[in-house]
Amino acid sequence: MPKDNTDGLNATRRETYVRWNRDLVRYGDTDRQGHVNNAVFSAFLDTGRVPLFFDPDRPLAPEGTTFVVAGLTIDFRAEITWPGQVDIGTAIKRIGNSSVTVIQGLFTGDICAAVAETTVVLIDNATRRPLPFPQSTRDGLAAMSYRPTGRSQG
Amino acid sequence: MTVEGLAYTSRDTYARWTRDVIRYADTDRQGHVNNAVFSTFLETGRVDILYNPEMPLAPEGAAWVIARLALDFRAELRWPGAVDIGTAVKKVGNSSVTLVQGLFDGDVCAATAETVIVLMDEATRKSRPFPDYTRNTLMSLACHAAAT
Repeated sequence: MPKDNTDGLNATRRETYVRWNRDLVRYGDTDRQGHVNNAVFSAFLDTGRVPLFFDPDRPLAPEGTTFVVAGLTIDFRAEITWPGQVDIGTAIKRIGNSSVTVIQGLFTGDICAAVAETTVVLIDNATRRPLPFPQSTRDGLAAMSYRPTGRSQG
Repeated sequence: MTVEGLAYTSRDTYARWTRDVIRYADTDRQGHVNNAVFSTFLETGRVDILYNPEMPLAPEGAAWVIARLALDFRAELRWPGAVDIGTAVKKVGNSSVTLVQGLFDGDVCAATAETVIVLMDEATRKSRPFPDYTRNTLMSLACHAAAT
């Protein structure tokens, strides 16, 4: 995934991302190896996605629908340690009919600690089945597309 | 060693089983278990193999780290309940091992996952080749290929 540069996507670079969130590393996020536990990386990724998908000022899910995660791939690149904070970059990689691929990077300073791709699906609250995106959702997602950065640095 | 022909959603694939109880606090506002908790359930299954005190796999001065996680969500998990975590070894490399896992709620496979785990020297933080006993034990936990 990080090598997916054919369309100018460099997931390990900050310039790629259009939305930023910051989370504080908690002491309780660490495990006996002295670093932040891998499952907490998933929670950091959630911290970055939720403001994008459930922004009360710009709701993307129509009434009676919600977004669920269908797939998640994380490439762990560096350890995160306490104390510190993590910058979470998020952008849209691909928009399908009822699902969208999100690209994310976790950064501590200049270090990219992880990159991740998540498949998020719009579902009907009652039937729990996928629903095609309305145009407003599609437009809102497209406005957060990743920024191509040209050639890979690596 | 690589095992082909795997049916990740079948309980028969897995060599080792661990059970975790779903906590009330694992749920989010959508009423289901939050996606990040699936990663924790997978870890519960992995550490049962990787750090089992009765079957130590990591030599002194070495530790296991995760390099990659690919997780497919197939069904929602809900409180109250328990989750059965199946784990098995798919591929044993020189200093890394690929594990396959399934999360089951009764007969329902809620998620499948592949993780790449690396044996790391705790001093240098670099990868370190498996000793023979680590390799042999990992191979004994190979997943069961489905009959074709």
